[in-house]
Amino acid sequence: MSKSTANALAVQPVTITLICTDFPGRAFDGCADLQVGWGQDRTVINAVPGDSIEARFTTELQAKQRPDGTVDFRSPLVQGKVGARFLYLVWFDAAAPQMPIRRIKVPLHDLTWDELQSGQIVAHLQMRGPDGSPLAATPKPSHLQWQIESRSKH
Amino acid sequence: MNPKPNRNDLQLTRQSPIQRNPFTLAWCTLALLLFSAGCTIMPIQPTAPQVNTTPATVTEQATVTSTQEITETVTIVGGNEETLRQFLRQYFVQPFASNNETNTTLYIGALPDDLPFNLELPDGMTVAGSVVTTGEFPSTQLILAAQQNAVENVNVLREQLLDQGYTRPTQSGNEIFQSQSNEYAPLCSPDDRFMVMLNGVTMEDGAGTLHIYLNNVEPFGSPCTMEATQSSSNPFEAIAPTLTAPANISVYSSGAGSSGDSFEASISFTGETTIAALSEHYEAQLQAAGWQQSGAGQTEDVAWSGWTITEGDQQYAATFYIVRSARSSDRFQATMRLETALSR
Repeated sequence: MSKSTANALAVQPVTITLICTDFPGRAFDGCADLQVGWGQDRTVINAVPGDSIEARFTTELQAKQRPDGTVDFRSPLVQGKVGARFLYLVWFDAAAPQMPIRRIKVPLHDLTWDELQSGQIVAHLQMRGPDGSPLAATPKPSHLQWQIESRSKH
Repeated sequence: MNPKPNRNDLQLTRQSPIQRNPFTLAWCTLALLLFSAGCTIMPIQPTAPQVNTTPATVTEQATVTSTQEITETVTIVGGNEETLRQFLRQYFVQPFASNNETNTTLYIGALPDDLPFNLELPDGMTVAGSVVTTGEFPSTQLILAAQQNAVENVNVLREQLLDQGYTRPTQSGNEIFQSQSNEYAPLCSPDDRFMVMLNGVTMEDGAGTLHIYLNNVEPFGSPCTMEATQSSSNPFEAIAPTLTAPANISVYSSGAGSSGDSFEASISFTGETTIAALSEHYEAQLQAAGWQQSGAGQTEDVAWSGWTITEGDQQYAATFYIVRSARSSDRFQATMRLETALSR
């Protein structure tokens, strides 16, 4: 991870937008109304249908530079420990929203302080896994592509 | 920024690690880690002989609970003028190598004199200090203290910048729900050279702290110079009006998606408001867009309304609802669902 020269007290507001395509559909493994949304605590918010043509999930974070040059993130949606923060997108059946079916883990720890200075980060996410089912776990680079001008990370 | 030296200036020059006293380096590193993690800074035992130990007395404390329910407490223990300056001098020397020469200047209780905008501080607001960093990634941070509500003061300062030609960057596509979150929205200078972000929180004692970040756009790329995110091709977005958010709420997430025959968009936010006020705010905008209300109802925790929309020969049906979180009384989600209606 690269390290920057910004000052040690700095806090940066950052908007992260996930542009999601290639949805699996509403039916999956006995579930008739598959949906996906941000995971927050033990609930799901901002859900969209599993057969969406395109969906956009946006969240506002605060990024804080740490003394070792790495970045920490804070918001009600941020999960995980310092140095391994991530966001969850959670698949669930609308008939049983309290029972998550699968989760997509969107890692944040790979974003550098310098890359966050634009205040706006966009990523493209394919929502079907290699077998065509709802994407789960940490996406491979083929499925999650950060759109950052300062690097070619595809 | 061009700092004006005076006899009280502290020169902040980076030394190579081997030039540093290892005890001082260890002390500072530990202090940095503790401070940046939002932890209480405790006096260090005299393993670093050149640091004066001070009585472990809490002299000052500030606690903030943000709108996102994150509590952060800063406790200052001991110290005097000499040790404070020593601490600041060491704190702002980065413990990792930079690629280019970097200079940091601290203004205690003052603003730099060459800011690209004018600020008229409201009554009760004072300047705590400024941090100006030059080099490959120049930035300026202004720290202000207010006796009153921080959000109101942020709004006052934002208005001043807007009056001087600062503008919000073009929003990305798919923005049915607009965010007026003062906590996050940046402003771009008229020449797009600077991006300014204003952040304010009110502490438990009622006083406010405001941070203004001024970044040079050039080395980073920025919403001020980037083209808006490509618009969605979703046809429902042409039907749904753009909905402005109420003042004094903080939007922290949103989602929007469309299948072939329906569209759903929602935002999640925090704020000290009521379901009734939110419902009135949003429903007025839907009615102003020509939507016909077919039904509505509300309780203290939820408001819903049904709508019909006619666009040419096509009929649409929409539901709009706002729900207060069962987990937190100041957390809400507003959702719009829009679908094509069957002919009757």
